[in-house]
Amino acid sequence: MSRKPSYDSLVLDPTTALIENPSARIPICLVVDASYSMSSIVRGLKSTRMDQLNEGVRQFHQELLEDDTAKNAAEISIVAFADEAQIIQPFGPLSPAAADGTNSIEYTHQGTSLGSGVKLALDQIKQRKKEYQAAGVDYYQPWIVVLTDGCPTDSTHKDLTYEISEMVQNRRLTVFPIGIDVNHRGLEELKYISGGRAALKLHDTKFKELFAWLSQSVTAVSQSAPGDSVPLDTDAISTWASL
Amino acid sequence: MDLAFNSACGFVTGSSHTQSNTPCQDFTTVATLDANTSLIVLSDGAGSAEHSDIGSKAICEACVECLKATPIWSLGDKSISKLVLTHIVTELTQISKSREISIKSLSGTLLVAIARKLDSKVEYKLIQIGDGVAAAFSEDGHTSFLDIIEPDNGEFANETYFVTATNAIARCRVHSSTAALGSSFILMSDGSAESLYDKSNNRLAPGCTQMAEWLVAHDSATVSNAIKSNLENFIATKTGDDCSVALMRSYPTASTHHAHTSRTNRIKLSKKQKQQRLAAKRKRKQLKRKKKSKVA
Repeated sequence: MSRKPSYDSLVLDPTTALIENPSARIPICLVVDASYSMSSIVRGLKSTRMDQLNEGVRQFHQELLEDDTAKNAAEISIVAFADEAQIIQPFGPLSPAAADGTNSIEYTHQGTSLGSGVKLALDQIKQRKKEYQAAGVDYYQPWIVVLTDGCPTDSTHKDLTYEISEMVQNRRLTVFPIGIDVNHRGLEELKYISGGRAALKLHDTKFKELFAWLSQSVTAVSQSAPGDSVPLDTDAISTWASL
Repeated sequence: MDLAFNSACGFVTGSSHTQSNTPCQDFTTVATLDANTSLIVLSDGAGSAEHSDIGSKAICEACVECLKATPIWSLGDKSISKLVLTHIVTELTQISKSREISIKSLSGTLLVAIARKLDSKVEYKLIQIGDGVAAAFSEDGHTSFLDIIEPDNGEFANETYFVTATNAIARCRVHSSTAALGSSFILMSDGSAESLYDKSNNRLAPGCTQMAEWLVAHDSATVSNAIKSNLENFIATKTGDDCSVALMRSYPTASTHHAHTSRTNRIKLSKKQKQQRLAAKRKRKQLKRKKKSKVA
């Protein structure tokens, strides 16, 4: 019979001896075009762009909830914009209700005030970061994912160019500007709020692939330790977008 | 030699590194400079640095070498930062040249607790670069004392500072103070801090005091094994990151110190030494009896 090692009795009781710190959070704001053009029927699918987008957002929540690390780290806020912007889903822990499509986005008005949507997203992020700091919760670099299918109908987005560029250059923010089947001018307009990143063109049948890539990227960041470089899988972007 | 401190340390590989066959990037060690002076040191290699497992070990060894060679007690905090970091970077530069790798690939954080026993107190210095936690503490049921250097992250969770950073000397934090005999010192990497440090309230978990207690009644090797075992079973399971802890405790009073060292020595005594000790004891008893009978 082997003798037990002498340190066998030196055991911490995890329930009383250890601390449960909150997971570091990744705030992600989806800034979604809710103008009337999103009611366009997607060719070959018999559903609208907005239906496809909502299904992608639902799948995004679902995939993150299925990952043990990402489900405690990711926080998704949704901002919709047409002639004005509104918060559809504020920042907070992921809820199964969101994965069931409770906070579906609806197309409402005319107008595409891209700047109003992005400005509201930036305000949301600033507010959430203050809340993290007050509660002693660590957080990763915030992401803004902009999805629009048209050209802006005002110039509010141009007022944000300097602020966003500075944040992106100082690695305070990551922006993914995505045009849904937009023309060249639409892609050019997105550059004002991209912080130097090239705008991506999404085919309206590829929402699933976009959100699958996003959830994989969020999961990779949630598992990273200080000092880790987490390069985005740029090769995989080609499965859902073109430049 | 009667030692003023007992110390122990351990490190384990995190699950994410086990899965990717990456070696443990945490390293920690303990050293005794003389009977009254000991130190513990810990380094967490940068995740983005290719050879940070080599780097973290080299950082710890260079730090010990530097503190062994130069008494730092009369130096100011900035001078200590400069002295230690210059020595570490010089060592890392030599390794990078001999291995033909970049110095950045050897990056890591640094934590040090060095302490010396003065007459009735302990003088100590805590040194930190990066996101680890260093603390001095004591809990005896009546009084509590805590001096803690909290993690030095950037704004975001996956940012921190390394010994190879251009602003490392400016970033380096040094706490110099004194504590009562019986005080303890702990160093922990960010992986261990997930379970042993309360970020919201800047406090240590109760487990830190419990582990420090082990150093009163157990030798260094036993406590080091216990630290490793507890890291593996309870602490590394909560994070994918590597985990490491170093502990050092000053003996509370001269009598406790004596009791502990004599217990340790007894284990090491040879048969001959035991016989000699027994004979001396008998002689002392005989002398006592003679004295008593004279008095009577």
